[in-house]
Amino acid sequence: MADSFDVGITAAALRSNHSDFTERSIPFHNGIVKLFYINQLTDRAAVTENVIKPLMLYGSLNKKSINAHMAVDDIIFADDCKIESDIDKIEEFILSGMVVILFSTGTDYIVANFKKVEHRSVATPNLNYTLRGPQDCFTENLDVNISLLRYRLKDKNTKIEKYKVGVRTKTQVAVVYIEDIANDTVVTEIQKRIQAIDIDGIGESGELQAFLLNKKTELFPNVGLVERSDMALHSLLEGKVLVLVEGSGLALLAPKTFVEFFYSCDDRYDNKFFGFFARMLRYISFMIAFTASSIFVAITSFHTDVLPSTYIIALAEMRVKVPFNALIAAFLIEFIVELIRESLLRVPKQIGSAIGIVGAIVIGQAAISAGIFSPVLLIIGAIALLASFSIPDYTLVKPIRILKFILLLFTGTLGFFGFSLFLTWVLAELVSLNSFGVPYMAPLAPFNLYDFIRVLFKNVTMDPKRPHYLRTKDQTRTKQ
Amino acid sequence: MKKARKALCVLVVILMLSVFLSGCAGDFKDINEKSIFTAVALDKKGDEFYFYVEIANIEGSSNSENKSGGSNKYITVTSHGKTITEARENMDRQLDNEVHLSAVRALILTENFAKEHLVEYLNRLRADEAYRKKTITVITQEDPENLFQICNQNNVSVGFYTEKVLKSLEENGETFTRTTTRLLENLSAEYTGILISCIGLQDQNISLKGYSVVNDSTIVGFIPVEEAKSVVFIKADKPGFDYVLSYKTNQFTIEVILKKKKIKPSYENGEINFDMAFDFEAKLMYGDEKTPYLFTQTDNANLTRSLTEMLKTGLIDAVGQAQKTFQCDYLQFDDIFRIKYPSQFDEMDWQNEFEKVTYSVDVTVVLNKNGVMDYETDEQK
Repeated sequence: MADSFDVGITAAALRSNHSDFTERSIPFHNGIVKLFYINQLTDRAAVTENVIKPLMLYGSLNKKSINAHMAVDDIIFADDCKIESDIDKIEEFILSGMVVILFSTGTDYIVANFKKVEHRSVATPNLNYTLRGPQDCFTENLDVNISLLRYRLKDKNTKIEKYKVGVRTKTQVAVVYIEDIANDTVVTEIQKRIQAIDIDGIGESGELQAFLLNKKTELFPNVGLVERSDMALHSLLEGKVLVLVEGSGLALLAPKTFVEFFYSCDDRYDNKFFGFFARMLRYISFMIAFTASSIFVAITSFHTDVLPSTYIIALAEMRVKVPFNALIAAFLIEFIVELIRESLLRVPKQIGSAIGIVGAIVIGQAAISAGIFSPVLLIIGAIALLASFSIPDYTLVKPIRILKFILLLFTGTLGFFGFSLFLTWVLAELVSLNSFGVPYMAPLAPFNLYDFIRVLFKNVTMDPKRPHYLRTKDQTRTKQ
Repeated sequence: MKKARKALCVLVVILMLSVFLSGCAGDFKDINEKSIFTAVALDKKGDEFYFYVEIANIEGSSNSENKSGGSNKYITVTSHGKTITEARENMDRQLDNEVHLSAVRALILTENFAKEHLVEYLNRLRADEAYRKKTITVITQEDPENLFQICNQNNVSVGFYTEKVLKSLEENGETFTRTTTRLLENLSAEYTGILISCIGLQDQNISLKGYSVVNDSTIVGFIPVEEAKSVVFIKADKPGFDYVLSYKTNQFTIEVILKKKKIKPSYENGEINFDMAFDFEAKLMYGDEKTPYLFTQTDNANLTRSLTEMLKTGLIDAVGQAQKTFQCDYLQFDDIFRIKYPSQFDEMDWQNEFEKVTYSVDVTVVLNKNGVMDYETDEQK
């Protein structure tokens, strides 16, 4: 091994490959120190104060040569720094936001963390809004996210394992779990899948989620999204595994069963009766969002006998001017609803409310006046839209937005028979899914009475046990 | 293996698509594209059958020469023919939409029609699966055209109104209704004796006029509603009526509700006997004179006795009327007897046996006078 490496050659190579690297040379007795960093990722004031200034002072006052070990021990002020010797990793360290300090003496160099990246401050949640719960949510900065978890969870068994995903982006991914609670199989599986990712890069947790799916063609999500740190905390305490992705304000949660998509932390914070009421409301809303328009088509076009006679006449009176049959009208309404949903996501805020008014009043009122739609169908479409927003984890709504069109087609062709047929197929699909080994429809299928009561009726905060279907190492939550 | 599975999936998809595209949606028809019938009436004048249907006017207009109503909520369409089928076909030829029968609330048959063709039409109704089997069947002595005209002019549906009137009376305990299914069951039995509600117009409104007696599929008589209270006590669930009784100088109105009814058959030496026990609860409501009535316990006992006698007489007369006047067991004693003595019932001709049936009626009345606003008597003081 050589006594030193040629700083000049190394520096020249770095300069030629990356013109945006900042280079600072500090001469000292019989040698030179070169700092390399990226301006935009570094706290320049801290580097100046804690690295450059001390090195310069030392160099001017002492006639000794400096090496990496001396600098780390006696000269620079850095809480997070290490000594490396692999020349091939220098570029990688600089690109990941570190300050690399090269010495003309010795073979070692210093990698110091003075990273300062512009990021959003901890803000209020956008997706998992709460009335009573904490309002802090994850941001795009991984360190901030980890800090939000650490200040809530002071358990010594909390493990945070970091990985780099993406050949080019080298995105940091942190897998968080509580070692003596989480199921080892789940943890191992997640780690395995993350380590197996071989791709250019990922920019957001959604892209990572695609790699965590059981099958590429899965429609229903098998991982949940977490925006709030209190939700993340509760999930970790249940025995789940959290995956944080640098650059994404949404963490992934696994395993996640179907019924857990209807959980909201607000159910814990309010009394158990209201929690039960709210959960029931969400289950009903899910069914309404999925089946409302299909049931309307089935009743209007095939099975009018299910309605009392007065309603049949009222329904017929409402529909008499409508030029489309019920199936086409329902398709159109659902399409318009999806159009409004998508457009409102992207509309500029300044005109967002105006568009909302246009959508509601013009389309709604004018369509009825023109006789294009019947009032009852518009009401059903609006209620279904509202119902879809009641589900706390919106990723479950996405498959429903697609499946409801197929359900409409089945129902519009075969009536309630087609409705039942398709729903049976969906149910069969759901029952056969699993989320990292946990049955997707647990605790309904396979049925577990304790977990079923826990899911539906209990305030989970008071519950002494964790869900059985998660097969956690430690099943007990409280000693009461 | 994978290829075979894929081929199977493709085959399934093709089969399903062919089902969709082959027009399996034969039942597909929006409700607004159908003629919604709310009442059906049949009459026979001479040799011609007349068919009247009441249709919900969802479009608010009419354009057929046999239709009446203009912008009324309900319109009536009539047709006639030599047979029921012909009349119905003529009806279909006038309609611009497919018929929707599931909203028919009442089937109205005139006496003329019901005398000979009651069973025929009910069988037709049973064969047509689109008809609601819970439709109420009623008889009328009015001309259906008149009935529909008056009601539709007032924007009232004959079908809905008839059903509501009868349901309301049934809830109050003043009548009993029989759905078409029940009638069909009865007509299917070897012995048939039933009462069908009879409606008519009273001051331009539909009201219950009485009950038509049907013996073995033909109408043999009529019991006016004023004379049918005892029959209702025997046949209805939780029946109740108000009675006016004279006592001393007062005319007291008394609410009488049947609490318990027991009809016990016995069969000895070829003789059929029914022991009937009725427990009534009576509530003294008010008198027609100024208080104080000073209604004592003795007065209570006397009034109770009068009421008991009156009720007992009414019940005895009701059974006697069925036995002697109409010679028809429309009180359904045959059901009660058959349940207890099935093999004996099978061997006998109930039509003849019913006329020989003996019966005893035991009536108990508990009269409660707490509902009356009155001064305390010396007794009570």
